[in-house]
Amino acid sequence: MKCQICREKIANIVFTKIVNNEKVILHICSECAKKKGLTIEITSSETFNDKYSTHEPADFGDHLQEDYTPDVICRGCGLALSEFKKTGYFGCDQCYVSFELTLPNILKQIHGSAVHQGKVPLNLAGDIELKKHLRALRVRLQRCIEAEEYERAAELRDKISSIEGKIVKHDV
Amino acid sequence: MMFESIIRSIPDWMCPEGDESDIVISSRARVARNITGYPFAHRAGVEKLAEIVDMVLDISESAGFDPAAFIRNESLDALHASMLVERHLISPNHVASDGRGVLVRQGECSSILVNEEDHFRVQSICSGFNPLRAWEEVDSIDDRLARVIPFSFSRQYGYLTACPTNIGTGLRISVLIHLPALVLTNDIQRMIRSAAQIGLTVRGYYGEGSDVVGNLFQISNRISLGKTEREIVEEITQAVERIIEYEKRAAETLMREAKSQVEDKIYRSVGILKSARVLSTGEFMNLSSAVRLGLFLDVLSRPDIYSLNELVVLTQPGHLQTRQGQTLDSTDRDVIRANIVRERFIDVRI
Repeated sequence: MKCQICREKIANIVFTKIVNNEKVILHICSECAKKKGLTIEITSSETFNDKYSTHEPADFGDHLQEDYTPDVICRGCGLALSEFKKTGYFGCDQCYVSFELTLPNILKQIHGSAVHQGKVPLNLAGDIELKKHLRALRVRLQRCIEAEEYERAAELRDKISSIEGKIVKHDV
Repeated sequence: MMFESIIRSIPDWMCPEGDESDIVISSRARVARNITGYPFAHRAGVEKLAEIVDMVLDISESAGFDPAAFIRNESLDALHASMLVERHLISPNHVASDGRGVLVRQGECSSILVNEEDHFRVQSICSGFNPLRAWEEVDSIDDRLARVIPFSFSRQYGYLTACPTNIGTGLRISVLIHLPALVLTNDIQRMIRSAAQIGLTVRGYYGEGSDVVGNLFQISNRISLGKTEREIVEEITQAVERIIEYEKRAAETLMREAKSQVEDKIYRSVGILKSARVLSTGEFMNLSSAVRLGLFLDVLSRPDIYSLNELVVLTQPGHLQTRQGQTLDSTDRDVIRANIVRERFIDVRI
């Protein structure tokens, strides 16, 4: 379905508004949602912590703003954000991308942080080394260009594109 | 049969060889992992689940497991399934579901739970108080899996899991600890409250939602994101070290201020276990807790902790019925349980 505001992009948010006890539903895209300021806010609350401290799936619904309950649909598995709020379970790893506006708050409530500090899968750990190496090469390339050492710059450019090809792209 | 050979003996981690094993039964580490490109298990459907199981069988040898030791949940009857639950190998929620199972290493110290809440739960248990060793074992299995399986991972959030409570490291460290003295001195609630304040969860023997039986508590980390695995291991190790210290102090206080009452409780428990004709699981667990305390305080010298640990497993309903080869109602089970316990306590003198 196309966005009912811009009528161009694919609608990935179901926006529900309650007017005089009547439910009005709009299908809109995330950009129009942003423009209209329809972002989801989760407020800190003791009940939230209490629920989550038991590791049980929790109902996130209480913490949304009451008047506007925009629903977001995951691009990967079709799970609605409202469904996640009911069960406490995501449907696939893409849910973490699709619900990115809501996530940091949820994760901070549970873990006190939203940034991973732990290990990296072995195959990606290799990538991290490669990426570090890439950054260093790009700095050198820039210097060579500034110093007009074009031959050296061409060598570096080839090296950079060969490394870029090696990096595994299954990182979400 | 692989299943039979796995469950013939009690798990290696029940042998009291590790540090502080008169207080700490076991230390467990597990990580939650999912495969990128697959829906999480609860939305994956039978075909996708079967693909994941095949993948596990393919890579099991490279991860240090015998593929023949994969137990499919659908192949288990109710008794065998409850035995695995009693051994903490599978969780009660997914017993009867297709496309799920567990890959077990002989001795049961390491296992990979497949397609429960997450595609993989890699678990390692060791005897006594040694969370670091349990983590290092899980870490090494996880690395071997990661060579062949593309895990769902995000730079910002770490390992992605079905429930956001496990995200990040996906790591849960859990220590099974016996705290009778803190219960008797009424200090246990204060301990549970302060553990909660530093991000730890305290639960009963069977984990989530279970009651405390036999003064056995599971202490685990609640937070899995924003810390390194080493920090998580370090924090829980330090916290449990303090709890062990409090337990020892509480035991000293009891022996100083209420020696006769404590000894009375211990000897009465031995008396009942030596002579009871009907014994429920709950009653056995509580009486055996007093015996365990007796061993810790050197009031008793027998039975040894190994026998007690063995009895804790063998007298659970699933184990007991499998041993008898039939389903029994709870009255019959209580009679058989009392028989098994009396046999083991026959040479315990009071």
